[in-house]
Amino acid sequence: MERSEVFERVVKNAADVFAADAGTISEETLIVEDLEADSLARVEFLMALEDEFDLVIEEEVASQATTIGKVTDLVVENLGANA
Amino acid sequence: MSPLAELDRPNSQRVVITGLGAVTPAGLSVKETWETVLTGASMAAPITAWDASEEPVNFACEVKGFDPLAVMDRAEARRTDRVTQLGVAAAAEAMSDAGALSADPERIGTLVSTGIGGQSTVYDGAITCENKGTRRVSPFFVPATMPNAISAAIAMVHGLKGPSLCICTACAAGTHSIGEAARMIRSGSADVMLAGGAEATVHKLPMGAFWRMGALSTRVDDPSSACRPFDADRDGFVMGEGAAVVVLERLDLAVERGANIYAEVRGYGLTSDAYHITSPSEDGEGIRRCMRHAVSDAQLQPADIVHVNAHGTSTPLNDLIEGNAVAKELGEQAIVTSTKGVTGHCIGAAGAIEAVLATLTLRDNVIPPTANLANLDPKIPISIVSGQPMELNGDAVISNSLGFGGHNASLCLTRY
Repeated sequence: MERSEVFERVVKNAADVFAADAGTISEETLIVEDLEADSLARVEFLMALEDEFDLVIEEEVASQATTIGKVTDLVVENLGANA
Repeated sequence: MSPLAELDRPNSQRVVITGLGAVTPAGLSVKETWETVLTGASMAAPITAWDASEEPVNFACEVKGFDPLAVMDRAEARRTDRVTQLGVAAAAEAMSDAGALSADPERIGTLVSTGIGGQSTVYDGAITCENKGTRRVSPFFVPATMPNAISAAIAMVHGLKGPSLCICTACAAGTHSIGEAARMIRSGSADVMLAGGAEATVHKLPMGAFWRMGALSTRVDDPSSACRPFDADRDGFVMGEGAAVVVLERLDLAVERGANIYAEVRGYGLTSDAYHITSPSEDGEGIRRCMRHAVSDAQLQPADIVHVNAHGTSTPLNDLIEGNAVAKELGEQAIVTSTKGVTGHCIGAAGAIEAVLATLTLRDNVIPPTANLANLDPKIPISIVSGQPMELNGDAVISNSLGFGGHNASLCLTRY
């Protein structure tokens, strides 16, 4: 899967989970600060991504990905590892 | 009727209702609900929330056209159960109706309860857990299903930092919440309380359970005539859902700020049958003693009570026992109605909805009719309103609730 497609799908899920306008979400968007994610919402976002990409991502690893761009990289990396 | 005896209670310990909110099968607001209830037309109809055509009981009184996004954003709506959404909506209307409160937010509390809580979220969560494993259980499962979620959500929306509780007493939860909230104000724990109840039980899980208990009407061929409180041909209750919230305020503060005062919460009684987990005690002793406490707490006499908004579920046992208890305890001047004939049984919200309706009865001097009452059960010696609304002749009314578990609650509301 192309990174651009992964990014698009990550953005769509972020918009859904955080009730945000997808058009305002970029690579640099900060998950906690910009999307106002609390600890529960971060888990919800992670679960949404796991469903979206049929992956298992450990929370400890996911918590290091602080921006939408970094989350996209994490998903790409996991997709590669699982391929 | 002679005027009520003066209440020997300082104004700082008197509690009045200064705001009303309701989202019910009869309407999405207090005004709409009241107008529908006065028509005496049952809201029972085939279920639309899911395909219930194969269910043994395929009808209910649903809240139709409710949009949670009117009171919360998409993310919040997804993370809360319908029961919380209904409660938050009713609280928003009540707060708006009350106008600008003068009390410090730290002295404003929330006590909006539920009888059963977020049943659909419990059901969906169990299925997800079973099919996809614990890893897929939502982190919002607990905050969505805990019964105190409603009070918590309302407190957060309005920044209310006073006492915040939830009272789970099944079908009596709404009445207990208003009674206990009034006590908090009387005892000095708070100056203002948002109190009431919410329920979202039009769902196959609780409906299946109530059906197996034998509590639901099975009149599937004619849903609109199924809920017929006190009628000789009643066969069970009709499931409802909804929420109602009242703003209770210290009388002196309400007067000082020029609030619109609907009525006074003058008395409150609560008792336990200590008899059976679902059946009321056959002699009605528990609910009789409950009404007696409410009248006594209000410093009134039974003869002062001119109207009872009954629990009146339309089950054979409740209506027989409660009706006889009203007749024996209060006397024939207490004209009875059951608004559940219109709204169905909204479980933990029922008492709160009925307290709102009893308040409007005092405001407008009109008692709504009991829907579908064709033949009053000859074993129930009460005066009851049917067909058309009846004029209220007096200043003191009672609203009763009897909850599974033998929990009884009575509010005595009076004209201020």
